[in-house]
Amino acid sequence: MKKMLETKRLTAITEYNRLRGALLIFTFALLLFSSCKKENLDYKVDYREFTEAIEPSMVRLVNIGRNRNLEVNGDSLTNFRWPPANPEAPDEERTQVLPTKYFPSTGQLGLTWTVPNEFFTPEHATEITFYSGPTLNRMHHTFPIHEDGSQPTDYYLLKIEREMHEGPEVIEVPRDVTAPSRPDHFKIRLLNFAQTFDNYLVTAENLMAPMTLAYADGTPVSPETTNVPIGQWSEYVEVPYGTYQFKVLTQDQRQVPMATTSPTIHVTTSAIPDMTQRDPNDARSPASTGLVYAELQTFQPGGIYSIAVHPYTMKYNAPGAGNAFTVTDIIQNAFQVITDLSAPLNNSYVRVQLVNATLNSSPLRLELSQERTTEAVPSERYSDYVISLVGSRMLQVKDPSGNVVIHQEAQLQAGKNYSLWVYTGENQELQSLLVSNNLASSEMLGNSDSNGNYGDPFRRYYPFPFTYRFLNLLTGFEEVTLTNQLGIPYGRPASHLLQGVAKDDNPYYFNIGSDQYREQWFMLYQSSPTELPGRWISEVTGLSTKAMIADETLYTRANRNVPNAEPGVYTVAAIGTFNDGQKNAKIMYVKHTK
Amino acid sequence: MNFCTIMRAMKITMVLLTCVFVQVTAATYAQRITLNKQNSSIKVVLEEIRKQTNFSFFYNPEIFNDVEPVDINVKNATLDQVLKEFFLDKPFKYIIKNSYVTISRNPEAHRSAKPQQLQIKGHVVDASNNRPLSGVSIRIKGTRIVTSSDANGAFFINIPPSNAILVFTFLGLQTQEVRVGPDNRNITVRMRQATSELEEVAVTVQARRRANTEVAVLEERRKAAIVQDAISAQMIERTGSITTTQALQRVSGVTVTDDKYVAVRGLGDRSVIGQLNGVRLASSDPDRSTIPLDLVPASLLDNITIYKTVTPDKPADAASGIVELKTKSIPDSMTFEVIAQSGFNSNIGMGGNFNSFWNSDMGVLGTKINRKDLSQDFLNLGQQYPDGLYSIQRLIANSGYTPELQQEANRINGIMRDFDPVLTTQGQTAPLNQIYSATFGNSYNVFNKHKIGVILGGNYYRRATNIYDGDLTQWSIYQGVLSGSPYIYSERNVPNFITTNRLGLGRYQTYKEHTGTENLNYGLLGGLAYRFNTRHEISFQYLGSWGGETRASNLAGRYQYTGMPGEVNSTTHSLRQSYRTLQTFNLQGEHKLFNHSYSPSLSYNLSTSSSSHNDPDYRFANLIDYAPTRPTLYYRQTMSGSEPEYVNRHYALGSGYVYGFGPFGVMQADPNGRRWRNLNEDIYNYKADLSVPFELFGNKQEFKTGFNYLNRDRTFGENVLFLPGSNFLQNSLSDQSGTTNPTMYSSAPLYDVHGDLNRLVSPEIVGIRPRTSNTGEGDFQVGGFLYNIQKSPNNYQGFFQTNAFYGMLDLKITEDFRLAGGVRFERTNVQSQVDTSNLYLDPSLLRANAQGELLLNPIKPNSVYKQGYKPFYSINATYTLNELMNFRAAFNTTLARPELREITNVFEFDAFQMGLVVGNPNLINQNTTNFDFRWEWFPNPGEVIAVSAFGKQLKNQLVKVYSLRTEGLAATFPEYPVIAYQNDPNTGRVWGLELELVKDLGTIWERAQGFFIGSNMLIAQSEVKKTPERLAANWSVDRNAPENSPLFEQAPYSINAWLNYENKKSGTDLTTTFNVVGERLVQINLTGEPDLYSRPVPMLDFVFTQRLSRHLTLKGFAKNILNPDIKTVYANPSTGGKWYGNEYVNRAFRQGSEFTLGLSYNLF
Repeated sequence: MKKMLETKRLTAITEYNRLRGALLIFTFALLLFSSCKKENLDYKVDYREFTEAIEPSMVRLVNIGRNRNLEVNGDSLTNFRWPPANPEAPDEERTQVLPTKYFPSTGQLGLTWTVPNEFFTPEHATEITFYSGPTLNRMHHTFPIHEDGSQPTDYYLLKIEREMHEGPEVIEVPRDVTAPSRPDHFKIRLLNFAQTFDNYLVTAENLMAPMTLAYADGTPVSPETTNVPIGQWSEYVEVPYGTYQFKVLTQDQRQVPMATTSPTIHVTTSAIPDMTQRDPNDARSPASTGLVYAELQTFQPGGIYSIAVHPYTMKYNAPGAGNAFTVTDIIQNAFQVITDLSAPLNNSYVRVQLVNATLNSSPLRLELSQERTTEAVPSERYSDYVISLVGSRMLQVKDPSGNVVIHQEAQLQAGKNYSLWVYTGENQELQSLLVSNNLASSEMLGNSDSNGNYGDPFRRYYPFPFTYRFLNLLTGFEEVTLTNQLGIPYGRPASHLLQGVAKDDNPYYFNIGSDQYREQWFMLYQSSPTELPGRWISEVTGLSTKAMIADETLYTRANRNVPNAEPGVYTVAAIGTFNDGQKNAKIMYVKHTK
Repeated sequence: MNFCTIMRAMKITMVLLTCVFVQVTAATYAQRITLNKQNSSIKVVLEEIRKQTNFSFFYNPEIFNDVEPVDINVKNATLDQVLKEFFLDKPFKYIIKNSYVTISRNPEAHRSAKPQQLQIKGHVVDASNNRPLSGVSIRIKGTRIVTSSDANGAFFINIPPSNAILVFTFLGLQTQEVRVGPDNRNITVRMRQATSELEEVAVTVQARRRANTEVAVLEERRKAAIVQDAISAQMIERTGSITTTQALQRVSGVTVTDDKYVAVRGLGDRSVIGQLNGVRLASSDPDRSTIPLDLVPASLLDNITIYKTVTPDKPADAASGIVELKTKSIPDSMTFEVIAQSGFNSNIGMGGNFNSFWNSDMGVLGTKINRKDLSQDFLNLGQQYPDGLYSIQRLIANSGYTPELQQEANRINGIMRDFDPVLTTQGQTAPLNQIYSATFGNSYNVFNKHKIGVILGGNYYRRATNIYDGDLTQWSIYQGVLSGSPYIYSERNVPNFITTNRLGLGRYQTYKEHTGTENLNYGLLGGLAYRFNTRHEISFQYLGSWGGETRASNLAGRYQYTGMPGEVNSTTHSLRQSYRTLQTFNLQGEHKLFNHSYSPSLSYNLSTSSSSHNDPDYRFANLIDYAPTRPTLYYRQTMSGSEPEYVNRHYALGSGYVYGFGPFGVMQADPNGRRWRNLNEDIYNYKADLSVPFELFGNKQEFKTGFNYLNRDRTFGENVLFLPGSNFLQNSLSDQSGTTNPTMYSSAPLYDVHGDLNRLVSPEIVGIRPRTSNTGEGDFQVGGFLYNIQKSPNNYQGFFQTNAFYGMLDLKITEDFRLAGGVRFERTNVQSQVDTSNLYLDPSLLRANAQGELLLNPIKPNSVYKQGYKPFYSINATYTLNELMNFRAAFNTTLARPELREITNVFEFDAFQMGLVVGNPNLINQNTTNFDFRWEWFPNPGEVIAVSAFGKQLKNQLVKVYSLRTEGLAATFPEYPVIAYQNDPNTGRVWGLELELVKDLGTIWERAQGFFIGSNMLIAQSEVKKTPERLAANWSVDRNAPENSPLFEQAPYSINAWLNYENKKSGTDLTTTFNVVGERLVQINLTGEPDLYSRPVPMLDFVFTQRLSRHLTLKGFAKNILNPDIKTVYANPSTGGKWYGNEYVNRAFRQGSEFTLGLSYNLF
């Protein structure tokens, strides 16, 4: 009996266990059903306009004629937009153009365009048609292109406006894309595609001549790039990297202007391509400054560039009514810089020069290493740049007998430009000051009221600069100030200059406006922290910008006016000693750009 | 996922089935019989047994003919036990075989039958008033045989024939042991109050006062002089509540919003104060005055009590209630329990995705959040460069000239790029939810008779929830697009289909919502009680709690009916992490001064606590983009002026203005940005009470007096960093900063990155621009975008000090009538000071006015509000009818103080409320007069039936006021309201009714043994007159809009119901709870649309525990089983969520059901 009861209980427990099992199964089933993994995908958008990569070919169109529209194999790749769809649109909108797949920023042909591979087929030649203006009824030209698998080729699209005289519309030019043999150099060549044309208002000076590529002072760059005939181009030549104001000269040393889009600076006089200023004697008339526009540019190590001369529409100042000029268009041959191969980011090189800011010392030279050394520099002069590798370098200044008179360890940074100033200190000992120069002539604008969340809007470049920096390397005074001929200091960069200290807060003075074409003097004043400009030191002769012109014959040979100042990035320094016993002080300058 | 969809539909069925099965299982196994028959025939009894057991009985009915009617009273007995006892002294024998019981006469019975057991009858009464006590537990010492006294205090119990000792226990009364035997078969037991004994002048400090069961909290409630409600640890466990707010939701009269904000009887905010073990809890929310209840883990609590009326010994600044959290008490014997649970939310599933963002890992302890704090280097920048960012831009530009400047520029660049380069949310695999807790407690005897008690507790949980494909629709009477950008604009207009005669709303913006939240929280509890003797006891408690939250929200949508040729999209990303801490230390002591029952006793409580709230790098971005059908122009600032360029799409970070504020009547408001906010509060709370008993009217009466000192010191710091592309940042020399127009070129970075928000804050835009191959020789570096380095103008510090003292009498006028009341004096001293140095100021605040004066806001940085001692009265009357029924009436006056934040003269654009939150230094205290009535009946232990009515009259009511000065149809920018607190000149009224029922179903229907049902309900009505501005806005279209509005977030009703089944034998405990809260006003609209109301959401939860062995218990819960749509609608109040017959849903989403399963290990 008892056993049976026991069995009964056991059965009950087993039953319970089974049910409990069922309960658990149900519970787990419930969990399982709800536990389905949920993907919960993100809501994503990608607003990039073009996400597919366009594969480039080796063929490039170089639009030095500033044509506007393009067809390839009969397909219009630019927008041909004129007049605008909405006639009530504001002016800007009516002159603007719509982006297209191949011309995403403007929808119109720019300076260069690499033809995508997709347009080349083995069966058919690729046909290019370009239009000078916005519509199909404007001047246009059609030509076939082909891709040579080994040779990069440029097709220079020339100006085909009605004003142009008979001549080629397109010139096929081989392009070099092999890096310079010396990695700290760049390659450059000159193409002379000068042409003749009509101007309606005035007759422009005739610049149809063989062309020569020259540095700012008129020195030819190389025999290769000298006297390149019309319709021809030179070989590439290798030039050490740096900041240059290249000029293009005709055979008779006349300067050819540079084509630019900058609306403010680029103005020529009627007959010759000079820049103009208001005639001091007759406010209504423009007067020549003797200057021809040519921008400064840093040519990076490893880059390949072409400079091409071709007619270009620019602005011209005609005498106007009252006090105003009239600005109209004029066509003139001008040069443009075309990048054939973009330089890689310069992470390796830096340029250093020596400035001998002493009076009456023996010539000095700067040695970075056995191979990298400057020429010997006499007093008050400065050396050419040497190119150095970046990093920590020992700068040694040696006298003619090879003694190290100055040695300074410096951390040289890529892409920078340094001048090592050697000057005479308090006890007639040689001292040095390493100054970092800004050859891009950029200025930081704004003031403390500016909201500085963004920095970019405050940087301004002056591509045709008259830029000066000031140094006080003179012993005898606590501080000096440099002024113009009227005793007005050149702003903060020239005021309260402490001996042997280079200012580092916006240290450049940018001569802008009409002043830049006038002669300026640099006068020395003894100032004090409470006195500005202070006392004029009449014993020290002022320095005139006219005296800083490298070679006046560049102008006189071509029968032109000598300008009052040449553009460039300069440092003006007071050097020497000035005290009761010794009054031997001078103002010297360095022109950093070539 | 079809499978899942079907299964979701089946889920409810499944849970119900599970309930049924568990019930059936328990019954089958137990085969237990519970019988209580008086004067019945044997046949009736056997029939009843048959019904309960399914055993059939075989007998000849004639054999029972001459037997007298019998009495039987058994509970939970097995068949064998029942039959054995039943036939003990009767001449029958029985045989159980299979499912059959055969009964026959036993001829020898009369001779051999000797009474094997002795029946003891008795009566239990309360010694103080001789009233019968029901529910007293009576146990035979050394056995498990237990019975309890019935409603008349009577009981029967069978004891072995020899003597036995009966143990009588009842909560709050002293346990008694009575020896019974054959000569002592009818007894009367008089039970005494545990503390009223002369020889036992015992005190019990809070730390030892154990009230963690429903029976216990109801008992406390029954005896209290005031109206109070409570939830015990037992119920907290049964409802599966993890946080304190979840538990509070179950208490009658309490509503909870967003799992954070607690309202009692419809009044929230400052009307409710929180106390932990009797000391004030710090508010750690920078925006609202809330108690950080969600920080306190519910598993570390014994109970939560809500005092709805007060006596003068309680703070007077709880206009609607005091939420008192009582941490775990120290047990008398060793306990050790460990719980580990794990689960998931059905919106995520196991291993599913939830919305989060890159580098959102909080770390196991949440401390990784603080790694995103603003670095000291960044904070120092504001000091180092007091002239602002331009001086840094200049430094960067000059950095090429000297190596020292270069180094500094690089350092700043590093600081600017140190922030996470991410502004968008991103789905991630969610971790499983985890809950762990452990408690240990014991008491030890030391130094002879001294006693020391220890409790240690720890808790940790981590859970993730996700909302996917939620719908968010902004309805409006307006159409058009206002983005803050001139490129994305179409005139605001009221479409012709909306008129005052034809009411309707149009879709303005529609969004899909994806919001993921991950919470982690952990707490530590330590308690130590030291008892010198029965009269002196001190205790110390520590509670530390830490919490981290990550919330990632993505709204993807568009503007509808823009009137623009093309699509206008709007995308919002909000990335927020918060780290909060709360630590309290308190020392309490209770001392009975002399060794007699009329001895005065002193109790005191000294506490300090600190709380902090840290929101590092809270990122918010609302990108509006517009793709016109054809490309249009965008003007970009270049070196030579502005140049137009064609774009296919325009971008803007939506921002606008707040009109009617600030010295110029307009302020920029940019919700986009990275924000750092940090709030720290230290609280010192000291109080002491002295109670002096005396005799009057033949009863023991009590006079009580004491004081309370509270001081809160707060510091608040904030940095707001604007984003690149913000409409209000100058991005050009020609930008006119400080005009009412946004700068023209500021959105350029958005175009640069094609609207990619992550690229926007990447090194591409932020920090020093890298050198390129086109950089000229020796050219200086230029800074790209730099974050503003100065702190925002909202930093303040202040204190909130109150002093109080009181005197009160607790009188028993007669045995049945008790009066407790007196007066309390409270003083207020609130002061704050806004930091006005070195700030980032909105340019619109810096412009000179027409007279050329430069006006700064705040004009008055210091706020001071002092009020001297003011009396607050309270009287509570209780009439007790036969000890089980109370009639209560109470009257009291209370106050509510402005919060520190509200009185401080700061203004801050709050991206959550989308408005400018403004301080008001002119605020004064609110005075409230309260009336309460309650009838409550405690039929049995653990049971209650109660009806309450209450009314409140509020003078100088502190109300949140929205004001919007809109330009209406002429608006060209988004407009945001000003949100401020004001003293309402109108008297506000709140009144309502509470109903409560908790019943042991077993007492009314025997078959329902073990089932408990509970329900409570709040019906409340509140009204406040709308401000003229609000009314005007409503009437602009809806001429019938009501003039009154319910109070913010106040629900007209809230209902809780639960059904609990407990089977002690099998160790099963099942609870189903249901909660629904009526519609609540959640947003006030001032542009003509009706206000937003949240719709009632029925929440059904199921919680179970099943004992697996003596030490091991399986537990789990399923929450929000119904998983209904949670909706917010545009409506007028009490219209069923409709506006003129149509439903306009603002937001609809599903929260997902939550499942958790785990084990609990109990060592003792």
